[in-house]
Order: sequence, then structure tokens, then C-alpha cells
Amino acid sequence: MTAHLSVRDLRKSYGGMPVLSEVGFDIPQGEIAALIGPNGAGKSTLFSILGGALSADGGSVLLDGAAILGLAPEAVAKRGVGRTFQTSAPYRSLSVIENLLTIAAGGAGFWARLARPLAAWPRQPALAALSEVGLAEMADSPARALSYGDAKRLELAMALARGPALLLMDEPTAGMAPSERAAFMDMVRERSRARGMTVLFTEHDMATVFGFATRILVLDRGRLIADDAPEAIRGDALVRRAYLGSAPVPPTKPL
Amino acid sequence: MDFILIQALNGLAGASSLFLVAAGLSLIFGVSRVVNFAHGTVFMVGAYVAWTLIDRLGVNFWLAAPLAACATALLGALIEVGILRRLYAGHELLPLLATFGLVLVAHDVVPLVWGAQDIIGPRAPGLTGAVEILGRRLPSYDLFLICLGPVVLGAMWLVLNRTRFGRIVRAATEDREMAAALGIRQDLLFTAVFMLGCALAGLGGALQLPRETLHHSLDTQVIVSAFVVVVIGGMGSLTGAFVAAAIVAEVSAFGIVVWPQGTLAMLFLIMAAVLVVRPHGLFGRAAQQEPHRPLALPSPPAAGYPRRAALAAAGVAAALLAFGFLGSPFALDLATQALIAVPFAMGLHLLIGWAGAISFGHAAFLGLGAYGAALAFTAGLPLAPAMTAGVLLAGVAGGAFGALVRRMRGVYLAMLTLAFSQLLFAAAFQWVGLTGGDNGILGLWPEPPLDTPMGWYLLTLALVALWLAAVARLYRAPFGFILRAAQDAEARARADALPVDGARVLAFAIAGAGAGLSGALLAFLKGSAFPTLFDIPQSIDGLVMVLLGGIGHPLGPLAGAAAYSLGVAVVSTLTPHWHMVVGGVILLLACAAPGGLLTPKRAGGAR
Amino acid sequence: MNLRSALAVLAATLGLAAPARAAEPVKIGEINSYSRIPAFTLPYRNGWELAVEQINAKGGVLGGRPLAIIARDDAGTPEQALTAANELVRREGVVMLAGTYLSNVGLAVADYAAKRKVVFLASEPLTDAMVWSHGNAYTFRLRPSTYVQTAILAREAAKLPAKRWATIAPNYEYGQSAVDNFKKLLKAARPDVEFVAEQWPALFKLDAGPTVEALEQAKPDAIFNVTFSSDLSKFVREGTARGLFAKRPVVSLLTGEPDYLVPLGAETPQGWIVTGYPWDAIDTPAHTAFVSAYRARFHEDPRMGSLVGYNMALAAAAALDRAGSTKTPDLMKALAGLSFDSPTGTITFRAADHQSTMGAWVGKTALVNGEGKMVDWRYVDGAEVLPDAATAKKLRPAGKQ
Ligand SMILES: Nc1ncnc2c1ncn2[C@@H]1O[C@H](COP(=O)(O)OP(=O)(O)OP(=O)(O)O)[C@@H](O)[C@H]1O
Ligand SMILES: [Mg+2]
Repeated sequence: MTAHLSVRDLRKSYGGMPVLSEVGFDIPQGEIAALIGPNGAGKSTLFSILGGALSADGGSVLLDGAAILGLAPEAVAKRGVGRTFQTSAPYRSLSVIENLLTIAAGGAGFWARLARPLAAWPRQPALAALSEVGLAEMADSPARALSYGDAKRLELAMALARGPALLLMDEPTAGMAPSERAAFMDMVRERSRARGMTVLFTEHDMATVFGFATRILVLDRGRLIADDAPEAIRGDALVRRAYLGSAPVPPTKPL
Repeated sequence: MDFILIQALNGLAGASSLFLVAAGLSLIFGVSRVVNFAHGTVFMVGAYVAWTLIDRLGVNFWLAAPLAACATALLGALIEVGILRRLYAGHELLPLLATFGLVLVAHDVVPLVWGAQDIIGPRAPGLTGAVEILGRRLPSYDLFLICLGPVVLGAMWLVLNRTRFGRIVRAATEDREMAAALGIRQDLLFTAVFMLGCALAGLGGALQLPRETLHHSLDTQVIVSAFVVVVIGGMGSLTGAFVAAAIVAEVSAFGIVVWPQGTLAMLFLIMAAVLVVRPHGLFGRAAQQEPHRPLALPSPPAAGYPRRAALAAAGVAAALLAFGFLGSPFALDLATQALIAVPFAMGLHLLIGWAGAISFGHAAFLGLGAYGAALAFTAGLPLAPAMTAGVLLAGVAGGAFGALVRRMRGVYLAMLTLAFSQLLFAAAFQWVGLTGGDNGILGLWPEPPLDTPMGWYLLTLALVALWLAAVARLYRAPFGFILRAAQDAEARARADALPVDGARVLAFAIAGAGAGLSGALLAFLKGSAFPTLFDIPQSIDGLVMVLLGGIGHPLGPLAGAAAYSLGVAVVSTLTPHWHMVVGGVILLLACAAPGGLLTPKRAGGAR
Repeated sequence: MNLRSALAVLAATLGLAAPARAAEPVKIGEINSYSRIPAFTLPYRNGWELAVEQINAKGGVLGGRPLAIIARDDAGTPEQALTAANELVRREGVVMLAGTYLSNVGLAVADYAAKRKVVFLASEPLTDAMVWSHGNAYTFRLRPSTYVQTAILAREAAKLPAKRWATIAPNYEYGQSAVDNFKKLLKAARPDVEFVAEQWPALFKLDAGPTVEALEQAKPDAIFNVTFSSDLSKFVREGTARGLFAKRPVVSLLTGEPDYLVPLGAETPQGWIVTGYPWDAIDTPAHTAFVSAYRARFHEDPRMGSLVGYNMALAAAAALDRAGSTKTPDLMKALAGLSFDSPTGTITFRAADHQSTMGAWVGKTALVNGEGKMVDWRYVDGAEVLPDAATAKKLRPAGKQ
């Protein structure tokens, strides 16, 4: 049985400056993995490459054994990859529910996309998706009016809208209050368990990382320096030096 | 061999003049993102002021040139503080609209102040002769110009790299937000840079006197080549402007030897070639593209339009229909023209407002529609198939062009559209066998009853109404939402598997077909089609309609098309100085109502 | 422009006002590139204004009705010219259209005139198509055409020993047909000549230095020039500085017209063979009277445009008087073969092709007291060089007469 996501020997540099060097890892189906590392380590770059928004200089990325490196973001998304961005970006000029309806309609046939008013698209699935992230009441408010946390939740609903098999989240809970964070990650975990969805996320908040990840990858200046279970990572001296520094590592919460 | 050397020197002399204008334009754009359409006008005013100083006040040429630069710097301050400063918060194209208003005003004011007759420029004392090089004579003033270009480039380099002002300018060019965050007084910076740019333009104008004839349309000649140079070099890059000026001048100098008939197309061929290879110009970088400011067009009400709106629309339609039977022939003629402008402007708005693709060359599709219909008609097709042919030609061309440029944005895309329209213009102009050249295609008169003002008005009304209904449907369909989503957050839209590129290509096709419909209707209204349909003023008219009407409102282009078309028609019967009046009104509106005539109501907490 | 007339226009625009019937003046609609080419069209406007004043002072037309010319700007585009034509015909109720400068604008209005069945007196546009390949029954042209002007010059050119010719012309129909005509006519008269170089700068965008160099490179014996206005000034300056014209005859279209010669001033090239208008040297009583009236009225010297504008109004008045009515068929009949007296002699609109016999002056340029002048000139009547009636008729489309 191959891993769900398999990355090999991935390389990327900006103007001669290596940002990712020979990065390789496997993530099995249904796992919730965290990618951590100091600022500028290359996490977002890696995500962008996985999502197809950025080209790599070399290496391979397999999803369920099929190569996805070099595909356009749209094609990657169609293979079952959903993602959220470090700076969250719902479609601000649309209403909350239109954000989801547009995604649903985007997959429709050519003529339907041209002729059938969006307002005539079924609202029920979109409303259900919104209530999953607790935004059902806001369905008809403009997305630009959402609070920071609500925008992140909407973006999660958008990333989940196409029922992805792999979810990439770049700092999903940054800027949230601790209680919000846990609730947010709970939603993700629920979904992962229910559908066997694989999750890869980056995060600077260690409580979140150790609270939810079943697996932690550590990136430092473009190199993967550790890839292990949370307990092992906690004890890894290399990781401590590179990233955790002297900061106290919170105890692992029971999963 | 001698010839090649001399011709290269000739090219360099031309390059220096081009560079002076382009440098200021590039500088201004780099810092404030203002597309200063009046830059050619400043150049012209600089030349006229210098001439006045020399000819009327007896000032020496070498003193008059810097004095003219000072005068245009002051003019620049006036423009920036008096007008542009009010517009920075609005759409990125607003300054273009306002400066276009200035160009119109100058078009009438310059002949009033300096007379309508051509004035041959005074020569530069000390440099009136020619020097012999390899047995050929080169005007000594050209040698001076050849040296001046690098000197000005060097001086600018020193200012930008060795002074505090220069460091600020560079910081602001690289990263506006950062510069603002560092507490740089943006208003002062913008004014200073605009003045500097205008001083360079004025200096360029004054120094061009010994090679130029002064007349009131000098500005439009200069502005287009200056833009092309800036874009080839990479917006905001002075070195780029210098290299680009040299390339343009040299290619032209040798081009006319090999291909003398190519003078109309040469400039735009060079630009298109460079942009295809380097989409951000020779020295430009992607990061120097303007930060995208989404327009946030409002959604149609989810519950459908209120009864009120439907009733109002029906009322307007009924009134327009009744007008077809009651209006005088002349009134019908004007109304038909206004209606014809609607699909043209709507299409441009679809590109700019919805698809985020700025076009300076929308006239390309107007012309294709008109010529397609005209050629089919003269080939013997009946009216309806002929018009369909025009619309299809324009739509297919739009789609094909859209597919080529679907990943391009900003001013570079705008300039490629300009190149596209200008190349078509050149083709319509010079492919005499097919198009009749600049004498156009004549005799495009429809059969009765469509040959009466009433007949053509009613047909136009029906087709435009159909068009509007179709476009309104598109805007409410996912197509419209996908375009808006892509403007709001393109990376997000792609990650959501929205067919962003497809929607953009389609937007180009629909916009092209809309303009094509306008072109076909226009050709049969006027009974003729001319290359001018492809020309820059037509494209500008479209931009003015869109911006005037309100770019953030789905019905903005409707209002803009009607207001501008009727306004020009009425004012031009009232006064020969209608350019001035129309330009003044545009200026006033741009300042007083920067959002345009129609602005969307904002539901919920606008941030 | 006062408020009242502004309101009237608005009302008329909205279709509210009934067409004025009571007004007595005979109205002629005049369309020209007043804002685009003011250097030529403003003197032209002065010319017809003077003529209208004189005609009305003598009692007007049609036995006592004043002549009124209503002018509109076409901004140099056919589209706007047609809007204006429509407005003049439909709202102002003019009995005849006149004017236009650019050839394509003129052709558009001519086509419109044929469609709407109004007479069009094309005063300025030079294109041969106006009366030949695109000629129609309603259109008459006043000014000597490209063909006439080049034919006059080709005759002179044929007398020169030069064998290798170079041409320079603006890149549009006027330039193209001028060069075409010139080549054809010169070749016919002198089979031994060859054309060794041509330059086609975009109108008013001449890049003078490289262009002059490219011509020089071909080492021609003589040059045929069609550039005018700002292009001409640049061409002259660069060509002189680079010695292009040294020992090389230049044959140049329209350069002797004061509109283009006066701006050249002290830099006027000497000895060019040109067509033009030596206004200050034509001393027939009629012409002297015209010049002094013009100067008295406008405090400036007349230009070519002034004479054409003046003649346009004279021709229109003569046509009205000959027709005895303002009806289009009568006017058409009156204009075909109409002769009228202009300051420079009698002009006839040929019935065969609707081209007037207004001629051109051919001579040489010279520098007199620091100003450009035409010397050794003579007047060539259009009738002298135009193809004969039968040939001309064949050049027109069949069925349109
Ligand atoms: N467009 C770019 N051009 C040049 N360098 C870039 C570019 N984008 C990112 N970088 C550099 O690549 C490195 C990795 O950036 P990346 O955004 O992937 O880091 P990150 O791990 O996501 O950091 P953070 O935790 O701050 O989000 C950084 O040094 C960054 O400066
Ligand atoms: Mg990051």
C-alpha cells in the first residue's frame, strides 16, 4: 500500500538561494501531520508547490501514486487536494454563501456555468457546509464583513467544499484565541476521521501542533531535519536547537 | 558600412529625445502608479513655452530649455495637487481619465494661445551646422542629443542612488506599502516625483525644438511612443526606458530602409515581440506590477431583483420604444449612436471591471465587427448574416486574443491590447486590396425599411436590449461570480478549481463580440467603415465611457455610454471648442464623482 | 453660445421642436476638420465667411434670400463627419452639404450625400476617388485633385535630365495615389527613368534624420516629395543640413501653398519645383480685390485655404442662383457645367465627372527677404491636364452617371 502523499527529493531555489533542498516524506491516508519550522524555513513554499501554484526545480510529488508535480492548481484541486492560505482570502465581494455556491457551480458544465443564475443553485448543501463551520447564520452577509476568525472558518469550508482527500492548511489558526484554535482544529479532526481525509498543516502554535498532529515534520532552512511521532520530536535535540529553542514544550494532550 | 554607422547615430539621436519623455513617464508610474496620459501634452507645452521665450522674449535657447522645464514642473505641481491627488484612492485608471480630460482641454487651448499655424522650431545657437563623418553630414545638434541621453540617465542615476530623495523614490517604486509604513510623506513624494517627471518632459519638448515643428497635436504623437518605450523597458525602470528608446529608435531607423511601408506597424511590432518574450518588459519585474485593487462589484440580490427594478427597466424599455416612433430623425440618429456605444462599453467593462483585464485597445473588436460585417456585405451577403459574420469575427478574435494573454495583467496587458488594435489598424490602413485602405469601405446601406433613422434605431434597440439581457444573465450566472472571485483572490479561486482562465478567455470573447455588435451596427448606421474604427481615440472613448459611468456598478457602462455619446454629439454642435468643454466636464466629474455616475450601494460593513 | 440656443438644441435633440419653416436664409451645411487641422481650415473658414458677407451685402441668393453657412467640426474622423451631416440635413434642414478636408472624410460624406439625396460640394479633399472611382451624381469637387497636381508636376519633372528618382510621401491614400500617379505619368513621358527608393513615413510622424539618410543612400538624381505641414518642415531642415538637396532637383506637391511655405520662413529651400499659390504676386484686379478685402477683414494674409473657402461659397451661391430653387435635382442640374467667376478666373464644374477646372500654380521656391516665395510661376488650368470628358466618364462607376 503506497502512502497517500509521497514527496521525494523536492528542490526549489529563488535566484540561487535554496529554499527547499531534497525534501522527502510520506504521509499515509487519514493522518494529520504538522509541518513546523522557523519563519522562512520554506513551509509556505512547500505548500505552494504541492498545490501547484509554484513550480519546483526538481523532485517528485505523488498523490495516491500519481504524479501531480507540475500540474496547474486547478488540476491539483481536481485530484482531491483542498487548501487554505497563510493570509486567508475568501472572495470578499461575494456573500458568504455565494463563496460556497461559486465553488459548487465552478465544477458544473459549460452551459450551466453561463446560463443558470447562481441564485438558482441548491442552497442546502452550501448551508450544511456553513453550519459545519458554524457560519450558517452569516450565510447572506458579505464576506468582507466577516471577523478574522470567521473568515478563516469560511475558508476552511471552502477548502472542504469539494470533498478533498488531502487538506493542506498554512497556519490555519494564526491570530486566533486559544479556545478558538482548539475548536477549529476539532472540526478538522472530525472531518478527517469521518472521511479518512489526510491533513497536512503548518503551525507556529505548539499547543495546537502537539494537540492535534499524529505526526510532525520539521523543516529548517529548506531541509527536513525530523519526521516522527510527536513524542519523538519533543525529545529531538536537533529540533530543539533549530526551532523550539529554549521555549517550554507543552505536554501532549490525550488524543 | 558608413551608412550603417550614420544610420545608427541617427537612431541614437532619436533615442535621446524619446528617452527624456519616457523617463518622466516611467518615474511617475513607478512611484505613484499614475498612467499620465497628459505627459505628451506637458512635452508640447514645454516646447511651446521654450519657443515663446526664445522667439518673443529673446531668451537664449540654452537658457530657455531649462526655464521651460521649470515651467512644466510648475504645471505638473498644479496638475498633481489640483487634480490627481483627489483620485489616488479610486480606481487605478482614474488618473488616466482625468489626464485624458486635460489632453482634450489642451487640444483647444493650445491653438487659442499659440495659434493654429505650424511653427518651425528655432535652432540651437552654436549647433546649427553639420559635422562630416565618413563623408556624410550629421547635424551637430544630433551629436549633442546623442550625448545628452546618457548624461541625463547618469544624472538621474546619481539622484536616485546618491540622495535621500532618490532613496525614498526607489523605496516607493519597489514597495509602496513599505514606504508608506516607514512614514514617508506620500503626498509630498508624489508631488515631487510628478514635478520631476513633468520637468523632464518639458525639457524634452524644449530640446526637441531644433528638430521639430510645433503644432497642436504634437502631444498625441509623442505620448504613444513614450508609453511603448516605457513598457518595453519595464515600467518604473529608467535604464529600461533608455535601452528601450535606443531599441525602438534603431529598429525604426533601419526598418524604414528595409521595409519603408512598415512605419505604421513598426513600433507596435517591436512592443508585441518584446512583451511576448518578456511579459514585464526588458528591465521590469513582476513585483513592479501595480498591486491589484479588486473592484468589488456588487452581487445581484440573492432573492432576485425587486419588482421596482423590473418595473423601472420595463418603463425605460417602453419609453425607448416609444421614442423610436416619436423622435425626430436627428434625435433618433443620436439615440442610435448612444445605443450602439452600449455593447462596446459593456464589453470593455466586462474586461476591466469583471475580469480585471485592462484594455487600451478595445477598438480592435469594434473595427473587426465593422469590417467583418462590411466585407461580408460587400461580398453579397444579406444584412443579417453579414452582421452575424462581423460579431462572430470579433468574438472569435477576442477569444483567441484572450487565450494568448490570459495570464497577463496590468499595464503590460493593456499595452498588448493596444499593440493588437494598432496592428489591426495598420492592416486595415495598408491592405488596400481588401479593406480599401484609409478611404474605407463605402456604400453599406441597409435595405428599406431599415434605411430610415426609425428603422435602424428600432433594430439597434432590439439588438442592444437582447445583448443586455444576455449579459445580465451571464453576470448572474456562475461565470460572473467566477470572474469576481478571481479578482478577489486569484490563488484561492484556482485552488478551488474554478475555471479562472477559461472564464477570462470567455470574457474576452464576449467583450469582443459585444464590441463587434457595436461595430456592425455602426457600419450600417454610417454606411461606411474606416480604419479609424481601430484607432486609439476609439479605445479611449470606451475607457472614458466605462470610467465616467462608474466602474463599480454593473450598469455603469450603460450610463457612461449614453452620457458621453450624447454629450459629445450635443456639445460639438454648440461650439467648435467642444474638446475643451468635454474635457472640462470629464475633469470635474473625475474629481467630484471619482466612482463614476453610478456607484454601487454597499450592503454591510464596508472596510 | 447662449442658454436659449443650448436649450433649443436640447429640445431638438429630444425631438420636441418642430422643424423651423419660417426662416428665410438659404442654409448650407459645412463640415470640416476645424479642430484637427486648424492650420488649413481656419483660413478656409475665413475665406467662406468673407464670401458670404460679400454675397449677402449684394442681396444674397435666389433673388434676395441671405446665404447662411452652418459649420460643424468633424474632428478628423468620418464617423463624426457623418453625425454632423445627419444633423445638418435633418435638424438644420440645409439645402446642400459642403466642405471636408481629409479624403476619407470627404468620401464618407459623398456616399452619405448620394444615399440621402443631397448635393455635396467637396471643397478640399484631393483624392481622385472622389469624382472618379467613387464618384456619384450628387458630389462635385472644387479643388484640383491629386491627379491634377501631380500631372502638372510630372510634366515639369519630365523636362529634367534626372533618371533616378526617389519618392517620399505620407503613408496614406493621398501620398500613395500621388506617388502612383507621378510614377505612371513620368514613366509615360520618360520611359528611361527609374524609381530607386521610396519612403513612407506615417503622417505627421516623420523621423526625419533616418529617412533623409535612407534617401541619400539610394543616390537618386531627383526627389519627388509629397510630405506637407510639420513633416515637410522637418524634411526640409534635415535634408538641408545633411546636403540631400544639394545639386539635386526636388519636385514637391503643394509646397508652394502659403500654408506650408510661410512656416518654413528663412529655411525655405531654393529652386524646388512646386505647386502652390503665389497669392501676393497674382495681380489681376479680381484677385487683388480679394486679397485686400481679406486682409482688411481678418488682418492677416490669405492662404490656400482662404481661396478655396472663398470659392466654395461663390460656387454654392452660383449654383443656387442658376438652379433658381433649393431642390436637390435643380441644384444637381445647375452644378453640372456651372461656370462662375472666382478671384483667379472662371471655374467650371465639368458635367462629365463633376470635377471643377480650378487649377494650380506651378513654379519654383525662392527665398526673398528671408521669406519663402514662389517665383517663375504660371497658372495651369485644370482643364489643361484633366483627362477629356469621354475618358473621365469611363473612370466613374457605371449607373451613377
Ligand atoms: N517570491 C520570492 N522570491 C524570493 N524569495 C522568496 C520568495 N518567496 C519566499 N521567499 C523566501 O523563501 C524562504 C521561505 O519562505 P516561506 O514563505 O516558504 O517560509 P515559511 O516557512 O512559510 O515562513 P513563515 O513561517 O514566516 O510563513 C524565505 O527565506 C523567503 O524570504
Ligand atoms: Mg509561511
